[in-house]
Amino acid sequence: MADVELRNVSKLFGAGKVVDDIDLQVERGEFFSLLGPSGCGKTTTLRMIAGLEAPTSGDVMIRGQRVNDVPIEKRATNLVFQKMALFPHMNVFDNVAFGLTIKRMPRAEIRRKVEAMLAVVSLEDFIARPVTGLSGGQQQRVAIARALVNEPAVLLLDEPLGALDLKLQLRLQRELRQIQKATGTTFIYVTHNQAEALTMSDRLAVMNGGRIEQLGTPAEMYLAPATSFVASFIGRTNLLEGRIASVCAGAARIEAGGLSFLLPAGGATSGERLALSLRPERIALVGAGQGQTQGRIAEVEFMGATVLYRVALAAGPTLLVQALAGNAPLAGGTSVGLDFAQDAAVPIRATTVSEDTE
Amino acid sequence: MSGAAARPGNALPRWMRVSLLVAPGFVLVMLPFLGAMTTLGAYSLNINSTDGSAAGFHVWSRFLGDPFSWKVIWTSVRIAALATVFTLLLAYPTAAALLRLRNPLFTGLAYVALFSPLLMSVVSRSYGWMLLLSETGFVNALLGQLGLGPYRLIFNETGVIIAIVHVIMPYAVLPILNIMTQVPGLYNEAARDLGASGFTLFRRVTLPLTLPGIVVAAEIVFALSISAFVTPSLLGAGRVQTLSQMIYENIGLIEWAMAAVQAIVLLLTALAVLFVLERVNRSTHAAKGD
Ligand SMILES: Nc1ncnc2c1ncn2[C@@H]1O[C@H](COP(=O)(O)OP(=O)(O)OP(=O)(O)O)[C@@H](O)[C@H]1O
Ligand SMILES: [Mg+2]
Repeated sequence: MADVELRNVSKLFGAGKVVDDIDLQVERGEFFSLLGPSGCGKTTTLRMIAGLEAPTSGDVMIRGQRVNDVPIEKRATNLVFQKMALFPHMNVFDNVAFGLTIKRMPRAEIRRKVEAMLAVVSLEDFIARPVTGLSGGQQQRVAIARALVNEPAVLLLDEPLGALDLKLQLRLQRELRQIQKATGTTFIYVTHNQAEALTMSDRLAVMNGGRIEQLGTPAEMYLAPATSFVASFIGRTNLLEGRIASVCAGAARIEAGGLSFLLPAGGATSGERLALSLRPERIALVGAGQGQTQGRIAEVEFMGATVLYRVALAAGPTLLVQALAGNAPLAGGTSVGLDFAQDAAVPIRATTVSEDTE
Repeated sequence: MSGAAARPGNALPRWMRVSLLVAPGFVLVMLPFLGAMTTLGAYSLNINSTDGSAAGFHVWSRFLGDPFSWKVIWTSVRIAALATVFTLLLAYPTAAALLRLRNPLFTGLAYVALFSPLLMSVVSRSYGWMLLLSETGFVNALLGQLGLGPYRLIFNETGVIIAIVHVIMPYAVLPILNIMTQVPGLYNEAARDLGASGFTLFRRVTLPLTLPGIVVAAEIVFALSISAFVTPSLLGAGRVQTLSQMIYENIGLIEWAMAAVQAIVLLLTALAVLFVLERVNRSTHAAKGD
């Protein structure tokens, strides 16, 4: 049974449709992410699960029960807010203990649970500190502890690491994942950071303009994006407009921007148009005159371990090519050959190809 | 302080800049206050007496030794305290309601209603209350319809407190409204998400977060109530004795020394209460850790 299920959920603010007919199921113990650009309706979706917002239509189910009419304080969910919202008039202990004191748990038990929870987020030594004196990362961990100590069926997290520096983000990502595994709690994690969603999630949904573009495991989303929006939002990619030149023995020969690919036909017919996604790391730089096609390096983006080249092809389009930095990256203006496997590109079959009109 | 040298383009040292900023307010507020206090002190010690009696503390001891004085001080404090409490009880929900008004027209009307007591002269306002609260007045007629009363609502403390609460309400609503707009609704959402609702939510989150505004409101309202003069005179009609009325009477009797003593006592009483309230405010800030 799914821990959280949304059935045809929509939300209107005035005339604006902020969440548009969303369907999803999150399994028990799963780390599920909602990924999408700013303003796509992630927070609104999360707030509907928490009970802070009522869906305009559709049903919210938690552990098999319809909770549309269950008020927020009675739901088996806890939310870590985008803007933490720690109570400024309480210290760390009182913040974390808040939910348990509302449940009138015996004092000794509250203390035991709060101490254990603070140990999980490595803040044992801060138990008596006022929360206003803590660093951003510490406050974030208090906010997570304050929600998690109530042992919710589902923990909802709204960009909990958004305001932190990269190093702290990476550390807390690992810690959050460990906490999630250790407690077995279902996590629904909202983020606009695709790297974060890929590394942390069991499954994720990519949202765009209030709708789910695609739902699946990180590998599925990256390797087989259903829409061009997903292809370009998760990682970087080259989107090519292609045409099926011929179909032969279950394989389709596709011409796209002067390049040629051979992909499984899967029922496609000759002459059909389609979009292709060709990831920059699937293209290799080879010496000029070698490989499938020729070009000249137009721009060089040094990223540390790898270098992203923008290569202007003689055949027309400009392609992103990612290569290991090695000893010295190639300079702009260098003539190069590009090599890739015949099946390096992925067809994007969805019809919503150009609907990202944000 | 290396501030003067560290900031380019600021020729004046820091203490001078601060002094210049404070100067106009200081001259306007503090000089007359200090002047008045010095004069009052001198009068209370009978230093420049006109009837030839000696200077000294004898007026002080006459006032403080009279049990009636203590009764009057207590009446003044009680009326001001009760007026403060009732005002806060009314002002808090009023501010909360104002905050929730979405329609600008209603907001405008609400503000006009709120400030209407300040637009009337204190005398006509007090006579208005006398008409409303008299034994045959509107309020008793209304209560009569419900089979209650008639109650004596004027020429006693009840009437005085009702009339004071009426006029000081806006002074209490504003600071409370101000703090309510500063406290994000996010804290309420977080508390509800953690299971709090109803009175628990109010007691554990809303009230403590808005307490600084309540304390400021209490300070303003108490200071205004304890120094109110026309309202208690008219609605008390001599039957409710407060310090401010006694001061007025003594000035009428050219008892300058006694009036000065009572004025200083009034001021010290108000300061003592403000001091206590300020301590409350500090302790809530300390709990916040800032
Ligand atoms: N209470 C509201 N009233 C009107 N519009 C709203 C309200 N809340 C959100 N919106 C609108 O709904 C859209 C989606 O908002 P939401 O907060 O869900 O986005 P988000 O995906 O969480 O974005 P971000 O990554 O910036 O947090 C936005 O265009 C926002 O302006
Ligand atoms: Mg958001």
